[in-house]
Amino acid sequence: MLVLSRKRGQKILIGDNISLVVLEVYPDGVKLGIDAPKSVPVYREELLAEMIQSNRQAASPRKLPELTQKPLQQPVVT
Amino acid sequence: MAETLKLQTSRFGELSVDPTTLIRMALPMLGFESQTRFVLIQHKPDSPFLWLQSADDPDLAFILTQPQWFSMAYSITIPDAAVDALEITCAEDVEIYTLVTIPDDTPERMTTNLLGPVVINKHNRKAAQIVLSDSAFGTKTPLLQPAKIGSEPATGTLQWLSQSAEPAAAV
Repeated sequence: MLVLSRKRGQKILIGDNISLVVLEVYPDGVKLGIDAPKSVPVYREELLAEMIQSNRQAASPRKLPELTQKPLQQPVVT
Repeated sequence: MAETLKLQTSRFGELSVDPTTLIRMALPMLGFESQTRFVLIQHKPDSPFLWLQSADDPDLAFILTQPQWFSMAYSITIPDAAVDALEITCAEDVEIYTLVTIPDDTPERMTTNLLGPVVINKHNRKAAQIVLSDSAFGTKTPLLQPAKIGSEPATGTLQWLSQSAEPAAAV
């Protein structure tokens, strides 16, 4: 792992089109600004982990209760 | 017309699918990056649920719904990356679904993931799971009103789900 020291306002460039800038420094955290192409997803790590866990829990359920309550609007399926 | 595709599935048996109706993930389901082709199947007439069945893994299927069918206010901004990937030109192009998690032992405690909706461009059938990073939405929002959960005897019928005169059948 590459470890770099940066001061507030300084940047790190990754490849041709991604840059990180240190916006603020706190005693126990930093605020970063990220410039990246729209096609590059940027996530907080814990958020992505939560999404993956949620998807795994949702996958292939064994039971599906019958809901007789009609939806407010008919699902459109083609 | 394209040749009909025969798919083996563990829930629906063999499906004959028009390949042009396949849902193709332009941005993957997170954690399921290898799954790129799905079939969208209405659960039952009048059901608020749809199945997103993998075309390549017979066992893999997700349940989708639309939060507004459960009277939830839900509006989102689709990130530019998904707009580009799905070739979305206007809001009318898209349908927004959310994944439903149904616990095996307590199906009435089903939740839906409002943080990571599945966006489908209904015109080109391209889809993406997006993450609404800076929203207040969570991944485990109850679909049914908590007040109704637990008010039923433990015998487990799901009658409390019903607003009609006929009791709903448990599965």
